[in-house]
Amino acid sequence: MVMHMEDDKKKIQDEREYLDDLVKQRYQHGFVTDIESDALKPGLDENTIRWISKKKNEPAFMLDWRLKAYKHWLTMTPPEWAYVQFPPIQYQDIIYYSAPKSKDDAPKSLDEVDPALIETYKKLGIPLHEHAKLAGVAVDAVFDSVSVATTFKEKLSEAGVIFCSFSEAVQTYPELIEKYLGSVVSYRDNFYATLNSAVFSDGSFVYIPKGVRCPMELSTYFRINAANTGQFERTLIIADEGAYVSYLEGCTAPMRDENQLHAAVVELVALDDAQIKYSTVQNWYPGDEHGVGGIYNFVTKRGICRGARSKISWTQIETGSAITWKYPSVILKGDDSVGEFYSVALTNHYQQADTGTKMIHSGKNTKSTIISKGISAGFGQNAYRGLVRVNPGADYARNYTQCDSLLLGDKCGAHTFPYIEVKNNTARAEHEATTSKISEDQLFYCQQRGIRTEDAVAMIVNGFCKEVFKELPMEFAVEAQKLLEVSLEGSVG
Amino acid sequence: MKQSLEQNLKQISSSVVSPENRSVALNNFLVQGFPTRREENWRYTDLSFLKEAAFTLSENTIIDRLQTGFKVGKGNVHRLVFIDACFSESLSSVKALDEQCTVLPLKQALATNSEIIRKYLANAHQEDTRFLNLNNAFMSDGYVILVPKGMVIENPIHLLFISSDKDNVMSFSRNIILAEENSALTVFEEHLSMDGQTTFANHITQVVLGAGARLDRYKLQNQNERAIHIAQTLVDQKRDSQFKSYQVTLGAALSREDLNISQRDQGASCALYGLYLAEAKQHQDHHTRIDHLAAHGNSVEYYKGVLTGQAKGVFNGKVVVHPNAQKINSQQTNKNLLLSNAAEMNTKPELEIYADDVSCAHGATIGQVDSESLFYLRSRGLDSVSAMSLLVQAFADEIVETFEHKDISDYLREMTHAKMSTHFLS
Repeated sequence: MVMHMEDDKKKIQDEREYLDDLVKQRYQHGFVTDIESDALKPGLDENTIRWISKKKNEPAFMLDWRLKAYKHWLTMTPPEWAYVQFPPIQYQDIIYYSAPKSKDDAPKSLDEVDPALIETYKKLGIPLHEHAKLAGVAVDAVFDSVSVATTFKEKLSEAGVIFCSFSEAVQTYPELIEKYLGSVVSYRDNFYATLNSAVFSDGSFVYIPKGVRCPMELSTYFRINAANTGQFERTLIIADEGAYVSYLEGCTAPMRDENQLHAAVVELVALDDAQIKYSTVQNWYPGDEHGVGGIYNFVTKRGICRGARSKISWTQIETGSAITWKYPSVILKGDDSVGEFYSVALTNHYQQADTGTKMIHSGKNTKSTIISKGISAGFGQNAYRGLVRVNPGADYARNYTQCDSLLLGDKCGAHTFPYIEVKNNTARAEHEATTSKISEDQLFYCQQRGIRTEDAVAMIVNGFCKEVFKELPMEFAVEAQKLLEVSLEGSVG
Repeated sequence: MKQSLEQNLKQISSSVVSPENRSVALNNFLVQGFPTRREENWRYTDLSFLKEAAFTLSENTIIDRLQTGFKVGKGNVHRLVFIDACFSESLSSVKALDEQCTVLPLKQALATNSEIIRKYLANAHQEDTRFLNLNNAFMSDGYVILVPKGMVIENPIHLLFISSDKDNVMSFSRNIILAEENSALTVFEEHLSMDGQTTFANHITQVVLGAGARLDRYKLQNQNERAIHIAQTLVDQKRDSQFKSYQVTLGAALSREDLNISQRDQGASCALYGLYLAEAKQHQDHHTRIDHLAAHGNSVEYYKGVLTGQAKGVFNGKVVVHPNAQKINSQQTNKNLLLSNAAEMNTKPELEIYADDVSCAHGATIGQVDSESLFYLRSRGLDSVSAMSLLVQAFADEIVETFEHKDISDYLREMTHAKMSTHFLS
């Protein structure tokens, strides 16, 4: 008996040490590549915008649009309704444009790309070089603000798919940009989106022509590099009638002590019978265990199902960032269109997340599904905020919402703020939410079968998130599970 | 609005609040103003029309007949009646109550028990103090119920508020229920209108439940179709106390109910049930907030609504589990039926949780009568109106069936069925 107890004690001790190691595990992707940046001085005024626009050799309509946005932005105040706290951002201290020097002599192939860059990507494990082909992924890698390399272009262009950096699209397809830019997220939309509209430096542009099924998953890796550079990305995806595209986005950022602002905008447009699947794994630097540093991720993502029978599906795994503020939304305008939102948001240490979705039903027989899983550990605060609105004309609209929260530790918080507004009596909206900690019974069951606490928790959490993981493309599903385990382990015991 | 309120303040004769305090309260309110839709708590309820409105206080209105049909099967009913928030002695009757127990209008209670009541009046706390200030400025009267330790009051106390047939009258009542340790009581608050006039009524009720005390509170709001009814109920629960609230909202052009519960000690539990039926252009807004401040608390909430015509419904149920309030169990459900195409429902069940060892859930639905159930009944030979009414009544009765007091339950069932059969199922 005594022996047993001593054994147990030792076991507990071992486990503690193991847990301590895990808890103190440093952010794996934290490193800085030293490249001379072609940066602007910090600060924002009309000249900054003119400079950016000129630097990018943009047509006049772009400059007009940016300036309109800037003028409107000056009249706005940052939103304060979200459950996040941070010191006010000094917008004049931000550098609004930074591009790696090598951009000016634009690389024609991978060989010409700055080796330091390639090295960075290798460290991140991005399948850019030979990996790209193996994984069948075309990567439009964004290093800070300018795209440096694009692969698989030929294969995509054979299918007629346009997949390029935003600046390239502005030069090559100005008519598409003029038609669709700001058509989903207007430049007046909200404080951060308006700021983005004024100063965005680059991003991705995708156009899938009529009836084309994009032959491969498209993916972009965003990284924030040069210090003090707010990154303002803008992504625009258009799926023409009957087209299909699956777009993957993954993020990692180097370790920093100052908070960095990231205010991106993503716009999706789906015409008749088109489908867009947008997946995100967001693992930016979350700050250290004392809540110092980390990225402010204030993102506006919205899609519009403009055509009948179109479908937009958002899947997101949010494990990084000090503050996450994002609500990927779908406007269901076309009859019989479908919107989906699958989300796992994890907050550990002092991370804060206020995330959710909006489903605006306008068309008849529109359907939306919301599955949201929130996990809070340490001092993390995790809020789901969602809106389901059924407008008077949306006959037979249908919504199902489920948001569950898991609490690990007694210092964290989990909050749910769902808004449901129904103005049509043939519509149906359902919402359910639960909040609890991991059941002691489940843990005990695993433990008595010889599974260590850590593994048991990881297993239970993975099970908790399974409904969302299964929506992810294969490559991401694996990464997502790993991410969760790394982010979580050590926060229980 | 400012002028009209200041004018009214001069004419007020009720002595429950000193004139100085009234004018301080009014000034506070005038600085704050009426809530606007830009505020999260008033997002779906528009009170901007009140800015232009001019209401007057009314005193000494005499009514010769009780307007209610509520009866108690056996025994005496204890009843206080207020007309435009002024006490009507002739219609009230408080019989055979223990001497130690106080059931009095505020004015009289202040004469005997001034200190303790003033203390509670001053202690009213709410995040949004606007209506508290307005009420402090204009309260005419109200009821005070003080139940001493261990006393159990068998029969319900009926509190009847009638808006008189004068046009553009505003009335403010302030009510206190103080149930000491291990006492128990049932109160039934009923709000009626005499005639189809526009009236504005604000009622603030403060409840303090001592350790182990039990309160069952029923409220029927059945005012006329032009009335504006804004009520706040603030409940403080001590250790192991039990609070049950049964809300039935049928009337008024615009009604807003705020029910705030603070569980301050361990083991407190509350159950909140609500039923609202809105037709024509009625606007019914229910806000509840439960603060679990101590461990081992329990809360159950079940609100249901049926809306037709161009009615608008709002439900906002917030549950906050504060840090260290472990072992909390909280369930909340809100279900709504929309029977017409112009009706609108906005629901927002909120959870804010800062402790980990809890089990909290909420659910909300908005929809219509299940077509398969309807088909089943039709296939058994029921015509569409009967089938529909059977299903809608069954939907509403789920709440009515939670009402424990038989006499009150019977009365409320009758009232809800009457409203449903005239406005909903024809």
